[in-house]
Amino acid sequence: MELEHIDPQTFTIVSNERDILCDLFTYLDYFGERSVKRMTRSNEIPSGDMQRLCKLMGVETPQKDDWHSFRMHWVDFIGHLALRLKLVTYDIKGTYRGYSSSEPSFIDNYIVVNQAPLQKFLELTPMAQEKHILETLIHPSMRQEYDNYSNNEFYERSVPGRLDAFSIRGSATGIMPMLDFPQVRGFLLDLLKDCPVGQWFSTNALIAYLKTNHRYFIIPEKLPAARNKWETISARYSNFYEGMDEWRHDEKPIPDSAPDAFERVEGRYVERFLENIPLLMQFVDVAYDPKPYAGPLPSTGTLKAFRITERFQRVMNGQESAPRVTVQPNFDVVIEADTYPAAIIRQVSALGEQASSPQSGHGAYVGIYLLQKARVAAAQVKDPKLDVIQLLKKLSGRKLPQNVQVELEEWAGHADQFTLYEGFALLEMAELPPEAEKFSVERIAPNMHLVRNPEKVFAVLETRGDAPIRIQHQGVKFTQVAEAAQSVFPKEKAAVETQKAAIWVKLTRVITISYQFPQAEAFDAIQKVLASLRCPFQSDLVTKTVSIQQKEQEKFNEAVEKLADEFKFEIE
Amino acid sequence: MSIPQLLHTMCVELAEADLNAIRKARGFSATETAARNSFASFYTTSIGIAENMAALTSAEAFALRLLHETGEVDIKFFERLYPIDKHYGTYTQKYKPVFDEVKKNLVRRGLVVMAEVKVRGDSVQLERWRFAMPPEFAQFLPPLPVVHSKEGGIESEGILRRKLLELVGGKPAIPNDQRPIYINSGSIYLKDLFFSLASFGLWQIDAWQQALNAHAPSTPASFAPTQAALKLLDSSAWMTPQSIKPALDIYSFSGTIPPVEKLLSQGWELGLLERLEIDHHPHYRLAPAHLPADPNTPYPVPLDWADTSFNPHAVKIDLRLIPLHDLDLLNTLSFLSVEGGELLAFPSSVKLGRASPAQRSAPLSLWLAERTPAFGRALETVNARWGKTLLHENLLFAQVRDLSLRVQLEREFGDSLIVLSDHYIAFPQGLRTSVEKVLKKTGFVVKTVKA
Repeated sequence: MELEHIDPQTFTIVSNERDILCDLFTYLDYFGERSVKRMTRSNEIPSGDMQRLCKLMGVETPQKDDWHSFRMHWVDFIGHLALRLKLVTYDIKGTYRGYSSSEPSFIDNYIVVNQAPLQKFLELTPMAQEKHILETLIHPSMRQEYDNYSNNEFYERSVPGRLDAFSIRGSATGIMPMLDFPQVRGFLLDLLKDCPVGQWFSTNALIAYLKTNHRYFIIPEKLPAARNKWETISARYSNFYEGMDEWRHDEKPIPDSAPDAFERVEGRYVERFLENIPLLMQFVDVAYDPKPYAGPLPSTGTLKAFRITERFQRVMNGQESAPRVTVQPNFDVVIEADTYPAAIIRQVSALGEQASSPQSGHGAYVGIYLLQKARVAAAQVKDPKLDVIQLLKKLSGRKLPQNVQVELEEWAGHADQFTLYEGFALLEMAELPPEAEKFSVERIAPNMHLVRNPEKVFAVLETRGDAPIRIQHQGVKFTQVAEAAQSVFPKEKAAVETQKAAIWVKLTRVITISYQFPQAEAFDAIQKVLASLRCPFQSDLVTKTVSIQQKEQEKFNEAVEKLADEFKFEIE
Repeated sequence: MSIPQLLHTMCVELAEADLNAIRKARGFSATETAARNSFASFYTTSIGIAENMAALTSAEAFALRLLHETGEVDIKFFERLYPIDKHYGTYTQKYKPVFDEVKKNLVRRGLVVMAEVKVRGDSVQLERWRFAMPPEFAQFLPPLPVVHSKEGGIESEGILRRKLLELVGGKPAIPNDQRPIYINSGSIYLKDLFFSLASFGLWQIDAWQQALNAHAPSTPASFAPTQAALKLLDSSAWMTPQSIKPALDIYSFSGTIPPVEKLLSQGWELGLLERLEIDHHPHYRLAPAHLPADPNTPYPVPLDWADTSFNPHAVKIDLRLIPLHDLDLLNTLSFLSVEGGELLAFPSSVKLGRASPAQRSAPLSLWLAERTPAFGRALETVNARWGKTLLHENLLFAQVRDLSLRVQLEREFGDSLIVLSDHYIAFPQGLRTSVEKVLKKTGFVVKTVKA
């Protein structure tokens, strides 16, 4: 395919900065760690979670007045993708709660990450993950109950794109339900595969090429027969309406006989296709006409040019390169990959903190993680079989720097420095009877045993006539044991002694001086002056008394001086 | 809002006219009421309280007594004292006359404090007023109309003994008993409660309430007549049914009050009250509590309710005579069973092990040990073993291999942490978060082993 080159200097160039794979894993990690319920009425993600997710992904939060763009938010798109990949589960149909409900409600609609499919997905290579996503996007699926025939580029606006869409009117009738869009998308992607990387091509040239060589790539030359007796397929383009304004007044179907009918229907599709899957997947960059569009709607000829990226070539030709992992002497682990290497990132991020934001250009990933003692030890605790040094050697394919290896050995030893026994009881007893031995987990001192099933242990000891004492400790303090008991725990007698001890209360002496005013005028005036001097005071309006702390005496004297022209104060 | 807060708010926000009325009624000086902040302190003194309390009607005195027991209330509480005229109309229309009476007779007399509180949601101003009596005034409340007598009263034990005899096949003590008495695994139970003086007291109260079919009214601060009678009577002075009636009308407002004579007589029959005839009129008071035997006084050699000759390993109990506190202790110390229509007590090392040292050294335990060899041996064994086997639950234990970490934890938590051995520590579950914080700060992680 030979297409005309074009100079995009005068156009607005748009690239998709979002790495779909990276954001998909951010989404899965977020909901894997939390239990989030979608909103009952709108089935949206709650605003707090939405804001956190947007921050994690680095996208703008949805604006409340953004509804008129009719474009899905990136986070919602990723959520739908995760649902279509079966990596998460949540309800999208809802239930009508009452007889008069006009919309379905979504009760307790939690987003649940499906661990088994996720594990399978993680086991795929990054390239295979990318291809799996591409296949999912190529094959449409219902997102709502009634969008069977409208879930295609003619009607759905691209998330990162700018173009408008055809009116949905009549999309369930005529030729539309019979079109095979997955085949159309596959055909176009195959066609674009042969374009050289990095060169700008005219969209019009592509449309002209298609008109000449593949005129019937969307709608077959011979129109299919009607599916039933009520249906009639009267015309080739009867589903496609053009109007003159946003509200599509005087909409008319595009006539089959129009000489430019192909450009007006298939041409519009090609523009919208380019800014959909190829732009979403970072397979193309596109260039739009910066001038405001004037003409019949939906717009046409606005997406002027496109160029193919290396990523597209790699994915289509199956050229996969292994991610590169480098462990540096300063404990940095650098991961470089052409495609987001989720599995490696998961392994490395368990051992260290991300030290820099991942850089990506058309999907290339560079991330730096700083190995940390606590995380290495925690990973060791989580998986006692984990050999951190071997793992990093395997990932990097070479020996680790000497200092890193030495430190990692020491850090791994930190994993079992503190072992917490939860749900056990402590038995203080000189000789553990044979009947109770099976409950013992650890003998921690000659007369102390950690035991499980304390109820059963107690019953065994009681039956033997050992007269055991059962002590239920509560809160943050030990329950005292009887004075006669032989125990390392605090005894009751000691508790009585501590109760007798008087509570230590440290008092601060504050001397307050009060001045009583015989008349209201002077009383009001002194308060105003004291306030202007920022002197803290208390006043009693009934007794006309002003009280100050002794340390504020100087300020009070200053206030008296300030009022010397108006009042002559005499203090008794 | 607490009562001191109510008082403080009232003293700050009280209208000048109301303040003057209180000053006049209680006899405060002008200087004492001049400073609003300090007036709260003067208000709770005894100045003028005794005189104003003496001037209250008996209904008002009972209402204040109930108010003292209840704490903070709203205006509806005083409906029992100043009945509302109409049962329709708005809240304000219904309760404004009551509010005026309370303000005039109680607040302006300086006996009750009132203040408006902030209440969530829509409410009219009258709903927001809260009333209380400062606890310092309780000692000045007019005494209840009681009679003192040196004569001892008569206790009724008939129903109580019949209840105990149900254990050995006796007829039901009361019809439709909600708390049956039975023996299970060597212990006496009352329904699902272990038999003790306390659980037997609950049965007595339930039986009293059931006999009269008198239940607690749904009105806040109102009690069932039986509960009200228990609150009004004490064990040192006598009251007649006639003198307790006005108090019951206040305490059990909006409930069904049975004839007071019947109420008190039924309480007496169930062993809750004592009765004394004074001038041919029945007087009642609370029956004395069943106190445990004096630990310093040994039991006499023959006990009229215990027979040790029956079986060398057991004691035969006579349920017609055994004091309730002894049955309580016997239920704690021994294995009980009914054989041939007799209640027998066998020594139980399990029960003796569960008993406290005081219970094991009580006169009854010593008497049993002396008179029954099996009891003596069991008690001796348990006394020798007791305190040597301890099972601690609800604690967290940790193996700490790093010495510096252990020292840091000891320094941080002091007595709240116990070192069990070189590598093991124990601490209460409530300290878990704090311990984890220290670990995080020092770069250690927690490896958890679950039971």
